[in-house]
Amino acid sequence: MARGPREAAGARAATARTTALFVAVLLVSTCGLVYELGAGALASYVLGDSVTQFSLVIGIYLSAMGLGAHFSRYLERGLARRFVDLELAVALVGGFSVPVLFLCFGRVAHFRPILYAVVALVGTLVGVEIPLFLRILRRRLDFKDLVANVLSVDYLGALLASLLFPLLLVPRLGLVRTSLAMGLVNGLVGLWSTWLLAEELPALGWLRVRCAGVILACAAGLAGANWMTSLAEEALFSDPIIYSRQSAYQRIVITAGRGSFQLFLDGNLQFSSVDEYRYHEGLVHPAFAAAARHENVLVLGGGDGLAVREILRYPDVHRVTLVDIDPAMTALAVDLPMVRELNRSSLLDRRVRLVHEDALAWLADLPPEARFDVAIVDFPDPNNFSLGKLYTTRFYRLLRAHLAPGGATAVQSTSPLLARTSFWCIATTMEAAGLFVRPLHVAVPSFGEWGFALAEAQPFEIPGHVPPGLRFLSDALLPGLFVFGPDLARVPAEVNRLDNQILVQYYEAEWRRFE
Amino acid sequence: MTRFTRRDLLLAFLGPAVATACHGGKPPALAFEGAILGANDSRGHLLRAGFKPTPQVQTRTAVLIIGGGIAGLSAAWRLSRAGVEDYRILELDAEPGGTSRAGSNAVTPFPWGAHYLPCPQPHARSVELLALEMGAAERRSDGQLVFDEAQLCRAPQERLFIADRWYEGLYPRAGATLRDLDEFARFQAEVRRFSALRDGQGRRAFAVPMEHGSDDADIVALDRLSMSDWLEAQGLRGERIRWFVEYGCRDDYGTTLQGTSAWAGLHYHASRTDHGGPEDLLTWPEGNGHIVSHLARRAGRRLETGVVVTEVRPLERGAEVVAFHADTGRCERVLTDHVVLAIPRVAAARVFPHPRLVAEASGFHAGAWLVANATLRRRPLSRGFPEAWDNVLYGSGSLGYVVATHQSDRHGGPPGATVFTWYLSLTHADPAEAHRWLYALSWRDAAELVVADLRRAHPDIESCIERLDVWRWGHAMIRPRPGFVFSPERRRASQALGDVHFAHTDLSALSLMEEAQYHGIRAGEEILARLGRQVDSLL
Repeated sequence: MARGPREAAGARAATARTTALFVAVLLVSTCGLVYELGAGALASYVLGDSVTQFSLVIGIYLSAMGLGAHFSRYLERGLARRFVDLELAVALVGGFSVPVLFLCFGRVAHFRPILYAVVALVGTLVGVEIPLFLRILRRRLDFKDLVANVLSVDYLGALLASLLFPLLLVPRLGLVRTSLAMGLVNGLVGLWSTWLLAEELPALGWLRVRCAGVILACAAGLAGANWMTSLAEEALFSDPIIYSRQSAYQRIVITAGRGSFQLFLDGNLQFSSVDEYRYHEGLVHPAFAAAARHENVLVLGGGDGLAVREILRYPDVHRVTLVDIDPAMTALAVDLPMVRELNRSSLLDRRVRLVHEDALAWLADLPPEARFDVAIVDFPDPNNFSLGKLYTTRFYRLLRAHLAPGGATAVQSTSPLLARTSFWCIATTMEAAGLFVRPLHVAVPSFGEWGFALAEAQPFEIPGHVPPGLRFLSDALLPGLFVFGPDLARVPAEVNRLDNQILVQYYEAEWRRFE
Repeated sequence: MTRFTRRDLLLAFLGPAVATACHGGKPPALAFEGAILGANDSRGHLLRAGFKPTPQVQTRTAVLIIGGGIAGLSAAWRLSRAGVEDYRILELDAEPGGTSRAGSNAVTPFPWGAHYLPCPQPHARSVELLALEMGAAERRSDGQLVFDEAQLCRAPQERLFIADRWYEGLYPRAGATLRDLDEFARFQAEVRRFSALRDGQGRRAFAVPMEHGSDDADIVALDRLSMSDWLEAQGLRGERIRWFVEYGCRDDYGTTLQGTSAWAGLHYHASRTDHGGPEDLLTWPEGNGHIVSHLARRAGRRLETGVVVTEVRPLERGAEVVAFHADTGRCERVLTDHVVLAIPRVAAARVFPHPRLVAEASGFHAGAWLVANATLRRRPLSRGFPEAWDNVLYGSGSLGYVVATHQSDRHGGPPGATVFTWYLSLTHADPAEAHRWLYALSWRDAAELVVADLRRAHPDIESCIERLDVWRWGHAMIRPRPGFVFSPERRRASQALGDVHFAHTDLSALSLMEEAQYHGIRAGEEILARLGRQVDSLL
């Protein structure tokens, strides 16, 4: 009689513990599927072609799980301890899988092998979980109940993951934090199971210390992700951020999505790898076609090295001087494999000299006799006063003074469609500085209709020839670029001077309509 | 006076708005260094203490100019232009320039006082000539003067911090009521009217130099009113319009609305353009130190610094001057045909105690100023409109700050380093009291003031400051108090006494570079006339 209630209490406790173990299964299987979805999403973001990427990732992941299940047979003794260790391993490997892959993408030449290796490793570890669990619970339940319950909870976890991932996790946390948060959950499950499976575990204290270590690592990862990019910043971009750095001058962000990557400076798109060739061909080649000689070339701005890539197509270029205020920008163009591949290592060419200075100050201090045959001016749009000064009569007067006889310059001049007055203000200002201007425009899908101002210090004809083998420009296409339809046609604008900075006001008023 | 309590300090210098905003806040830790600098007070005090050195040597010069500020340098400039090269300039301080002097560090040059020159109107010939000579302007073939874009004040020129963010411009539009805006519009209409007004002789109502302006009775009558009375008479009573107009008085004269002659208060707004709008300005990183350097270069070795003039005694012809060279201890008696006393009126009366000067000097009240140059390692946080050249804080007793690197394309130090030059005029009714407050101030007090003032607009300012130096100007600017501008003593003040001529901005009752230059040139031309030179006046 005396034992009755205690037995009943013991039975209730055992039932409660079994229920708790099923909750653990639910969490573990949710995490497992989130890792798979995360890797699939990441692969389709950075490599594009989402059907292929998702199929491959799922295929590799599932087969790796099979491999894991196969390996589970070699775990013989101390199953409970193995289970806790396994949870910790999944927490670390799965939790850090997405951030590590993102960090690798910008920095290594061969990304795919790393991607598939990480997916296989996570899959293998996750594949061990359920078989191990079945064996641990074998003594507590009938086999048929056990299999039925564990598998149904496992599939329920999959449903949960597939709902949470797109609806809650990615929109709220982003991919990197989602992966780390799941790592944290795995770590916590590991710690929790040291209580649930306490009877079967030796050396509990040490095990719990290790659990705490892993949990801390995941939490630190989450904090680090916040430090790298804030959630607010990620919300600004439509694609995941794979590189983000605050230099002394600007915030440099690279995002990757739909098989291409994009560079942003202070939140403004500078190029997308998918169509930047249209922009850079339109900026560089008309100026080279117009210039009498090509020996000595100046590039102001353009630290991404993409304009220099086009310039180095000309064998008669002897020297390229690139002036970009931000050493972090040119370093990125040299050090990040994805960018260096795109600019074909242009900044490492021995003809190229890098100068890190304010372009206006550098021009003002240039010896009076310095002359350039071609000057490519590729600054970010004039959306603040520091950039606006690089579009003033003072700047263009200095530029004109350093053009060689027959020299030509091309100036990136924002969109004649979206910021029409701004575009024509730049041409008007260049004319006020004594330059003869031939505006042109090209279609760059990721930007829209984009404009440049081709100019010389003397009147000149629209050039007729570009080098063969370009992706966008051809001799037949060239004259059309200088034709402005009614919606792009010239509008009156004031001259932009240092003491009025009217262009910044035009620009702000025009772009505000699109925000 | 003993050490200030923090609240006293804030209340006395920055006013109740800042004192209340900082109340209860922790005093700044001041993790930076600095020092109090200042126009050489000890040498000036030698004079007041009756220092009488005995001359050991006797020298001769045709013209002796005492004072190496804009007025003295301009007198020399005028003589040089007429080919008279036998002159000396004696300056008390180690550097020339007076309140236009500048400093410099590894980041940038910066001003210690006056920091801009409005583009001259065509009637101001001498200012035009100077601008042309300095390369700040060019004359086009059609005769039009074109100013150098790099030396014109760059956009954006001004912003105002009000409530919790910066706005473009100086008038506090944010949160203004319709009535406020109406008052501002009415004030502007009055300014436009005065700007366009021409008297029977075709003179502007208000001009720079002021001697070119009208002396018609109705314009002169404005001098008898205070600016406060004038606003009252126009029915302009709102806090914002009064703040805006008082800011002009504090900025140009170091005075309050009550302490400013309405003539002077209007002169500030209506003397520069025909349309009443803001004028274009020439400015440089080092402020008017740029002009000083140019003029000092022209004077070359004829400009001597660190020289205390203790006595000017007129002779039957010419004068004898006792000059003490502070660095060497040498004392010199200079016999000269002509003297230009280009120093503040109060100081002139001390070295040349002529009864007329002594009797009238007490009417010349000068205000005290505190200027701080804060070297920043990076720009502080800031909300709203981006950094401008002139950055003003609504409701503060300070005049805000000017950014030294605004005019330059290049600066030293890390990216984002700059120097903020922060100004405060002590507007106490009694100049002697302002003087006492100023000299009771420690470096720490001054640094706390700057930080407390700027912290409202830039919460992290303390961590951006690398060094903060302070300059105390005991006699910074003449005060155009009501009735003084057209008083007999002010109008007589320029008249030479024998061969002693006078030049200083005090003589116009307005502390402006152009007025100082005007009086320097006038004194130079008086001497040229006595030398029998036929010169075309630049005035």
